Amino acid sequence: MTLVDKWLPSIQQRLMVALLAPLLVLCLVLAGYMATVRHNDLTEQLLDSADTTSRYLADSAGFALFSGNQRQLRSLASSVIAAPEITAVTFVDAAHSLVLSVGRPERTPESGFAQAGAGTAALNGSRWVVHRPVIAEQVIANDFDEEPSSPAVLGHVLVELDNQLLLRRQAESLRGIVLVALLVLLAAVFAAIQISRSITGPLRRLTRSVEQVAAGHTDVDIYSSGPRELALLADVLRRQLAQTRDYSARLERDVEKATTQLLGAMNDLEEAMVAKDQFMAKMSHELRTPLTAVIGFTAALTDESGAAKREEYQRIIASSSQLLLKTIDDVLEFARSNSGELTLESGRLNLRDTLGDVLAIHRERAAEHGLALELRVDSAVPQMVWGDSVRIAQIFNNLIGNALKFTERGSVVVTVGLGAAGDGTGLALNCRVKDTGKGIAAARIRHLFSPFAQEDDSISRQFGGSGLGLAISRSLVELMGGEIAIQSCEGEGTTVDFSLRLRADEPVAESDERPSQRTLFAGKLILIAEDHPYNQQLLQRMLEQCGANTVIVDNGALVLEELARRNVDLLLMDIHMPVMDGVQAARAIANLADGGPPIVGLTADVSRSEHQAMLAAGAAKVLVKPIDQQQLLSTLAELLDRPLPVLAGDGLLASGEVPAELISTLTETLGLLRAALAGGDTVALRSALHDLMGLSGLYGMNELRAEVLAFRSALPSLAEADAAQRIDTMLALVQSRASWVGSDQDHELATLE
Amino acid sequence: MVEMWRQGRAVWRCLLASCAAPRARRTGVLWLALLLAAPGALAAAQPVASWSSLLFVVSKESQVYRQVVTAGQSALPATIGSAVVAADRSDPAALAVTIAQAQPELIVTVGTAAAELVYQTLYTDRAAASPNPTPKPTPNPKVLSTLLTRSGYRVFCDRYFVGLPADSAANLSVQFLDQPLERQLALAALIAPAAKRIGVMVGPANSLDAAQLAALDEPLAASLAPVFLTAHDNPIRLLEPAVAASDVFVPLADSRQLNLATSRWILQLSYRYRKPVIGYSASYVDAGAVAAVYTGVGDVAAQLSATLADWVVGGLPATGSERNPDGFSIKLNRTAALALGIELEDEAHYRNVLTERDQGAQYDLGR
Repeated sequence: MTLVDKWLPSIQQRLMVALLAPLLVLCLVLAGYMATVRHNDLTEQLLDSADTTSRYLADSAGFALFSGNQRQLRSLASSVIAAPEITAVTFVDAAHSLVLSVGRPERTPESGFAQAGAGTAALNGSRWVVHRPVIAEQVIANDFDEEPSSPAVLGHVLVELDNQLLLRRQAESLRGIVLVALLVLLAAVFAAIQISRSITGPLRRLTRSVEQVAAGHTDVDIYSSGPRELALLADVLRRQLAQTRDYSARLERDVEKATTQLLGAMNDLEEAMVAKDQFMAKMSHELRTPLTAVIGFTAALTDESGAAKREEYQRIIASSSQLLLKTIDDVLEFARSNSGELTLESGRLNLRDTLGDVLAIHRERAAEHGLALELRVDSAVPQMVWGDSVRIAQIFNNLIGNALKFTERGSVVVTVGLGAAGDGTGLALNCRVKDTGKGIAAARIRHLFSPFAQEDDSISRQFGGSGLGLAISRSLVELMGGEIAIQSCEGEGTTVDFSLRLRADEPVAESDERPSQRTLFAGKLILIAEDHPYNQQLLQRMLEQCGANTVIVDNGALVLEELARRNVDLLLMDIHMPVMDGVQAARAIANLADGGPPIVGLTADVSRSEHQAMLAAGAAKVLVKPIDQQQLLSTLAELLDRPLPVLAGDGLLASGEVPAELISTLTETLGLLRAALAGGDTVALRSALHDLMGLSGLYGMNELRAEVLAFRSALPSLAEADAAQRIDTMLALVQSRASWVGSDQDHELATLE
Repeated sequence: MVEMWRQGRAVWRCLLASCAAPRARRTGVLWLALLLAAPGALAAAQPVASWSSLLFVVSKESQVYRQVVTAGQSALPATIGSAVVAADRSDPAALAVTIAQAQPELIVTVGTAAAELVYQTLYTDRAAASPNPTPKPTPNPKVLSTLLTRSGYRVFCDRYFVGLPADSAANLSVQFLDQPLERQLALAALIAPAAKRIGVMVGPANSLDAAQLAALDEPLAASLAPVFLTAHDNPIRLLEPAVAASDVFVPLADSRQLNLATSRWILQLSYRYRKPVIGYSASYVDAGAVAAVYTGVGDVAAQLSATLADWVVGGLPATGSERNPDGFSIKLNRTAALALGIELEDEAHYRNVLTERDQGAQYDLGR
C-alpha cells in the first residue's frame, strides 16, 4: 500500500488533492509574487516621489537658496509637503548649515546626508531620506572662454518620507492580494468539490448498482449519467446485466427443463426399475417355465415306454428348449444393444429374399391361426441393397412375431416402400407391419419400447416372450438411422411404422478395363476350408470360374498345414468344421509370424455371437450361408485388391444350369433330415437344416429355402406326421427343379423316397 | 589670394600632423611646414618686410583660432614665413625649443591659453625653476596677443610681468576683446531709450569708481546706477535691488569667475523683474540678454590682419601697446525682447548709430 493509498483512500480525496494542491501552490506563488511586486511598486512609487520631489526642489530652490530667500524656500517646501508621504523638507547651504526645515524632520541634516549618496533614498528608522545638491548651472558669458566650467553647489535639499505610510499601503495591498487569493482559492475549492462530486457521485451510484447486482438484484437500474467514461461504463454494465438477466432466465428455463427431463428420466428410471424387477420376475418365470418343462418331460421320458407318449414328450422338450433359447438370445441381444456393442455389418443383400425368408418363418404359424400374412414390396424398391441382412431380418422377425402374437383374426401385412433418400447413395425404406389384432391401449403405447415392458403382464403369461423384442427392434432401427412408431387403436389393430436408411446398390458400369469374371482372381491361390464335400465343390467351381487356383481342406488343422506349405492369398473357411473349427483355426493363424492370409468366415448361423467370435479371432469378413455369389465375389475381390465383379442373376442357378450334383446332394440331405427327425437326433437334424439352407440359398432356390426356414421355425411344435409332410414338400420342390436335369437323377430320387 | 589660401592650408595640415605626432618630431614638422609654405609665399609676396619670420600660437585647434590665424597669414608677404603651435599640445619648454630653432621675430598669440603659454615661456625665469633649463630665446621676439580679455591680461601681468625689465614689456602688444564701456552703455540707451536709470554691474577687474562712471552719464539721457561687486559678495543680494531699481541693466565684463557667478542670477533677476539686460558677448544674448555689443572673431581677425599689414610695411613696433578692438558686433535676442515688451530695430540700425558715435570717440576709460 502506497502513502497515497493510505492517506487518500477515496477517489474524491485524490481528485480534491489533485485539483486543489496545484491551485493552492499557484495561489501562494501568485500571491507572493503579486505581494512582492506590489511591495516593490509601492516602494518604487515612494522612492520615485522622493526622487521627483528632491529633484524638483533642487532645481527650483537654487535661486532662493543662493539668495537666502527663506520665504521662497518655505513656499517651495510647502508645495511638496502637501503630499502625504512627504513628512519633512530641509534645505542646507553648501556648508551643510541648516537654512530651512519644513514639516516634521526627524533627521538632522548631517545624519541625513550620511545615509546614502545624493539622489539615493535610504531608509532610516521610520523615514525614507533622500538628499540632492542644489546646483547652479553656470551661464558662460564669455564668448571665447577656454576653461571648463563646473556647476556650483549652492546647497542641498533633504526630503524625508514616511515609511509607515508605505507599510500601511503595502499592508493594504497585501490584504487585498490575500483576499483575492482566498476568493480564488474558495472558488477553486467549490469547483473542485463540484468536479469531484460529478465524478465520484455517479461512480458511487454505479458502485451501489453493481453491489446490488452482486447481491443478486438483477432488476437494478444502472445509473448512467455523469462523465462520458462512466456513462460508457454504465452502459456496458447495463448491457452486461441485461445479458446476465437473459442468461439467467435462459439458465432457469434450461434448469427447469433439465429438471423436468430429470424428473421424467427419474420417473422413467423408476418405471424401468419397476419394469426391470417385473422383467426379472417374468424372466425367471419365462426361463423356469420351459426349463421346468424340459426337466419334467425329460424325467418323464425315461419313465414312459409308450412310443406315442415319448414322441409327445420329446416334442414338448424340443419346443420348450427352442422357447428357452429364444428367450436367452433376446436377453443377450438386448444387453448388447444397451452396452453399445450392437454393430451393423454392411453387405449386399436381396431385400425381397430376406423378407421372404422372414415371412416364411412365420407363414406356418399364421396359417395355423387362420391369419393372412402378406408381403408387399414396392416395385421401386431395388432388388439389391447394402445393409445388415441379419439385423433387418431380426427387426421384421420381431415385429411380425408380435403382430401374429396379438392378432386372433384377420391379417398381418408387411409393407415396404421407398422413402426420400438423404443423398445420392442413401436409400430410405418406409416399412410397416400392420395387423388387425386387439390393439394396444393408448396409455401403454409409450411403454412398449421400454425394455422389460409388455402391454400387459398377462401377455407374457398368455403369449409368452421376453418383452424385449420391441426394445431391440427400436435399437436396431435407430442404429440404421431410422425411426419407429406405433399407432394402435384397441380392437382395431396395431400399425408399426419404421424407417430404415440403407445404401443403394450402386450399379456397376460396364467397362472395358474391368476384367472379365474368368480372370477375376487369376493367379490367386485361395484355400477353401469346408467340411461339406458338396460345398467344397461348389466353392471350388465358383472360384475357379473366376480364374483362382484353389486348395481344399476339411478342417482347421489341415488349414494350418497348408498355410505352412503354400503361399496362400486368401482363406475361405467355414466356422463349423471337425477337428479344429474355424474360430480356433483363425486364432492360430493370427499367431503365425506373417499373420496369415486374410480370412473370410462362412456360417449358416445368423447369431451375432458366432459372427463376433470369428471376427475377434482374426477373420476379415464373415459371410452368412446361403452365400450370395455376388457378395462372396465382391468380398473376395475387395480383400484381394481386385476390381469388383459384375454378375448377372441372383445365384448360381440364375443361368438355368442346375447341376446334377446339387439335386443329388439336396435329396441326400433331405433323407438325412428325415432320418434325424425319425431318430430324434437333434444334432443331425440341425446339421441337415444348415446344409439345406446353405445350398438352397447358394443356388437361389428361394421356395426351397423358404420351406426349410418355415420347417426349422415350426419344428418344435410340429408333429411327426406334419414334419414328414413338410419334408415331402421340400423334396417335391427339389424334384421340380430336377425334372430338367436328366434321367440319371430319377434313380436317386426314387431311392430317397 | 588663391596661392595664399593654399599656403595657409598647407601650414594647417602640417600643424594638424604635428599635433598627432610625438613631441620630439613636432619641431621638425613645423619647420618643414615653414619650408613648404615659404616658396608659395615668396611667389605671392609683394612688399618686402624688415622681418622675416612669425610664429602663431593658438590656444587650441578650432575653427575660431584657424580663422584668426588665416586672417593674420593673409596679411603677410611671401618673405615672412609663419608656423602655428597649439598651446594645448605644447608646454613652455617645447615652445622655447621651437622659438630657439625658428628664431621668429614676431609671435602672435591667439587666445588666453596661448597668451599664457607664450608669456610663461618668454617672461619667466626658467633657468632656476627647471632641472633642464633651456636658454631664453635671444633676441627677445615681439609678441602680439589677440583674442584676450582685459581682465585676463591683468591677471597675466600680475603673474608674469612683475619685476620684468622694461624691454620685455616693450615687446608686448595686446589687442583686447573687451568693447569700450561707452559702446555698451550707448547700446543700452538705444535698446531702452526711455530708461531713466541704467544699472551697471562693476566688478573688481574693471577698476572703475563711481566718479569715472558718473562721467559717462553725459552722453546718455539716463543716469547710471552702478553696483560694485567683489568676489566675496553674494551677488544676488547686491544685484537684485540693483536690477529691480534699474530700467535696463548692463553687466560689465569682469574676471571669468565673477562673470560666471553673476550672469545666471542677473538673467534670472531680469526675468523676475522684467528688466532688459544688455550683455557684453554673444553668449550673454544666447543666455537671455536682450542685446549685446561684443567683439566677434571676425572683428579680431580683421584687426590682426590690419595690424600685421601695418607692421609688414612699417616694421615691428619698437614699443608695446594695448588697444581696444577696432570693430564690434551686435547681437539681438528678439524673443527676450518680446517677452519684455521691447521693440527692437534691426542690427544694422544699431551698428550704424554706434558707428556714428564712434567717430572721434576715445574709448580709453580705465585702460
